[in-house]
Amino acid sequence: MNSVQMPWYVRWVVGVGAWVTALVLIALGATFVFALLEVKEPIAMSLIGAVYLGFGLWFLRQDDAGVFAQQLGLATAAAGTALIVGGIGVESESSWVAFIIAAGMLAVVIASCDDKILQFLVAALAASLCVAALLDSNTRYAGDLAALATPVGLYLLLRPPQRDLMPTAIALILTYPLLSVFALDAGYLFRGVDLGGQFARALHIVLFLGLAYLHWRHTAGDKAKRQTVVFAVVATLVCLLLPVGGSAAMLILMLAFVTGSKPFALLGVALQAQFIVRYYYSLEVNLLNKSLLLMAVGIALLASWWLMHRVDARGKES
Amino acid sequence: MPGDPGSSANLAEIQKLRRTGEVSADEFLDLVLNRRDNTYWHQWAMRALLVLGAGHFLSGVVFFFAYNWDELTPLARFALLQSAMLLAFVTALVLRLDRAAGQAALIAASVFAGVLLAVIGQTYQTGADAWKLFAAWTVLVLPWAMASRSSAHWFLWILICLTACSLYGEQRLVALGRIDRVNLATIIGILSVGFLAARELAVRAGLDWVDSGWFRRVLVVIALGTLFVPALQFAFMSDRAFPGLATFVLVSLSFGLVYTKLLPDFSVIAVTITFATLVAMAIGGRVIHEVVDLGGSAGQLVFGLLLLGLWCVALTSGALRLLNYLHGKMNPGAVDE
Repeated sequence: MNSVQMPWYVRWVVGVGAWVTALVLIALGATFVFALLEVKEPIAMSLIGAVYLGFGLWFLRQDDAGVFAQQLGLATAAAGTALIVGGIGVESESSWVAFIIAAGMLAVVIASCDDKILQFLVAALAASLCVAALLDSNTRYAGDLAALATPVGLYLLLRPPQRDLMPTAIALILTYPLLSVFALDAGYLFRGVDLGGQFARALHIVLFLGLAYLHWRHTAGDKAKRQTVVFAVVATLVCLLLPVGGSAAMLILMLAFVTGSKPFALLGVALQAQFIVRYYYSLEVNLLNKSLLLMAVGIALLASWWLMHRVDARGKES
Repeated sequence: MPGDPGSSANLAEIQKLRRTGEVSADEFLDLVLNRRDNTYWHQWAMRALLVLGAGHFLSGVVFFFAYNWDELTPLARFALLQSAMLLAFVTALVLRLDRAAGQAALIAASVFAGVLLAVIGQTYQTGADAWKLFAAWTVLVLPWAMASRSSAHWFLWILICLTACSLYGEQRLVALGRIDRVNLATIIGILSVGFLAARELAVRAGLDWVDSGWFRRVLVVIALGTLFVPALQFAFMSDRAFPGLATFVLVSLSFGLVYTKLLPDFSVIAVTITFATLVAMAIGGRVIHEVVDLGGSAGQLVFGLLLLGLWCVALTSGALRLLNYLHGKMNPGAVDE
């Protein structure tokens, strides 16, 4: 643990490369089935996918495989999973079936290899299909139901089983914030559809307070404990005022703080920034009310900063 | 990672111990919290609170004046904004510019100046192009940026300046057919590289307050992200974008050289290699398309996609190898992934 580890963002580099490669391999599989073999049944894609996945997992399980074989295995396995899920999903014409298959594939990947990037890609696919199925079936309060992924992800992250499920946990934690980017609070899709939000907001506040409590429990000294309480109260108020996308981003920021995670900090900041930009175009509230709300939130946060700053300054003086 | 404050290896490292059974599920969270760099994260939280508070408040002000409220007379709008600007300016001086609060107040004054210009345009309907507003804003707040001693303020100024240049290019140069939109992106990319170079020179000249890592990284992402567009356009069959591709290659090589030899910074190398890999993937796609003729038979298409898939795998592997090698060189004793 004293040696210098590769930084976290290197995984993102590999993940992006694997994702693009997987897209090419998916196109290759589909072209092979539909254009070269001229098979018209979508289920044939799943068969090609199963071959891909088998090859991919085999490569990934080789201890002496080089970097090229590892990358080939990763991209092939990711593409294979997508082809299996896509083939069965199109054949059955049901996004729920596609989601169930994707969840099953995730279990297969977790059980059969340790590759974190593959696990994340498959978990993200399963989570996306679950949300797509909820939206596709016009489920009422689809957004609220999707928010249930967050506590599951947090549990897996903070009380992990021995099997490494951190990539799945991260995919679950990001499900709701990413849904909010596309579908909630004037997201780019599903404008005007009632996806709920009150339950999700309440859930975010409870989780936020839970994380604040964890920090409070581990904090020594009255000064720091007082600061945590002030912050928790103000942040609860802010989560109540902000639309649900904003409160989801606040939760990610709190998680970054409690676990000391720079990737979560970066994601939280990016989500909060895009939320404010997107909020401008929200049609649910007029611009005047939005402006007053944002100013109120800003003042609450600045007041909390000032109070905590004062506590810090007094601590230093004494 | 020793030497990296608030290192994020925390969670991943403890997860490794959890996997080997050295840490139980009950102990996991305690260990995460105990190993966290409390001083770093306390400072981070304080800064995040200030930035979030100021960000929400200033966004609210922008939204408020964008609403164009009838109840508020033009005179009242001007008075409100000018008073706010003055108040923010005085607050910055009182709180002092070497403190975060003072710097945030001066940033607020700069934002109010832009909103004031927008309200003037809204009230008098001068018919001026949007680039003029941003150009005036750039010039007006430059002295404050220079006095600010804050990289956040400089970053805001750079964003305003780049927006002014982009709008000028769009509304004047592209609209009148003087340059291509692709070449405009190249020019904006070069300008961003210029800002990055200025930042590095300022640090070299002893201006320590510019020396925040995020500022460098964000400028690198803006520069490469902007040049990435024409480079990608070249890959998608637009030969007119060749100068953009050439600039992208030159800039990437320069970043590689500067940030491994002169100013070692592995994060910049990782960003550069990511962009370069993506461009190389796209260029490979173009070459394969031209050599194999992907529009021909199904067999050719399958063969071409197979080649492209292998090319992408080779590039990702090469990128990872290069990152491992450079990381090892820049951090003796590093662990290979």
